[in-house]
Amino acid sequence: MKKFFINFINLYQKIPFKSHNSCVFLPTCSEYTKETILKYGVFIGVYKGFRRICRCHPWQKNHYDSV
Amino acid sequence: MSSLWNTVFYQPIYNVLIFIITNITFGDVGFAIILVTIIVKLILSPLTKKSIKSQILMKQMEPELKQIKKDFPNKEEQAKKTFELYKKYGTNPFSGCLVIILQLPVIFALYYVFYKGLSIDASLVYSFIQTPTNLHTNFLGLIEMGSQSIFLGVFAGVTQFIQGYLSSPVKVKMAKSSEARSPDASKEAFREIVKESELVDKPKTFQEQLSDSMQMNIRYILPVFIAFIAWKISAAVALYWIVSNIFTIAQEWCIRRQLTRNSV
Repeated sequence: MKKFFINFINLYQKIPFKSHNSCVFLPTCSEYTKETILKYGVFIGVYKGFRRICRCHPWQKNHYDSV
Repeated sequence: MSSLWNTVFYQPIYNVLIFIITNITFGDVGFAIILVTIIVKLILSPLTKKSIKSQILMKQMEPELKQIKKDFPNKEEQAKKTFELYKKYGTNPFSGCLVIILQLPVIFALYYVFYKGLSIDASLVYSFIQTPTNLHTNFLGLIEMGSQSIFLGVFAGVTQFIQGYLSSPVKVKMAKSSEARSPDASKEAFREIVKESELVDKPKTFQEQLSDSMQMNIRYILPVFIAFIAWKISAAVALYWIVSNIFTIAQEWCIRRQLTRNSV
């Protein structure tokens, strides 16, 4: 289950898609979500990733945000 | 949820399409599809502009980014240095993932308008918009918009390939351009290659191999995939894809030109 989601994110990161270079955070949202899935499991991990994406907007001041 | 999406995104675009068919293209559906796609893409272009710009600059920064990753194993320090680098190139602040994700329903609605077919559903049309009296779905007198067109499908795939190729040029090309810039950079690149080849010597798991080949091939697989889908669904969707790809190519070209002008 964890592996499936992480491979899914890996696949997303490989597809040429415009959101890749617009993340305001480091590590990027997708990278962050991979880490949270590994650490907390799929459900909490994906939820935390979702919260992270909501924080990823142009008015975000804090750019470093690790798991 | 789906009704909200319908009223906020789908219906407005649908009505714009009907309006254009009635008043601007006089019943011609093909040209209306082209116009609607361009209008929606133009409205979204300020949002996409930023991310395309940072995509191009990111490619230029790649060697320096790698250097930072090597020099600073501490993640927080790594991030700090990276943001300094962004500032140097003037790409910060980025637009953020949320901005991109907010565009998706619009893009999806646009696609859905063409996907659903070209018959007119009067219940969706606003009261102040006239429905077209004579509807001709024959684009340029050659291609029936509602049917499947292998020609438009293949063309959609080709434009997708060109767009992907321009936005992420092949790695070999990158190394060549850095060689031209400075001999040190090329040495660095060579070291990098040697290191990578050392890594290759290690036995890889099946999954790693799979993901590597995916990265190599996605540039070729994606266009074929899109050509196939565009052909199977309808000529209208294929036409939408072609126009949208050409729009993106033009947009990227403009931004690239702007960037080189600024640097000179």
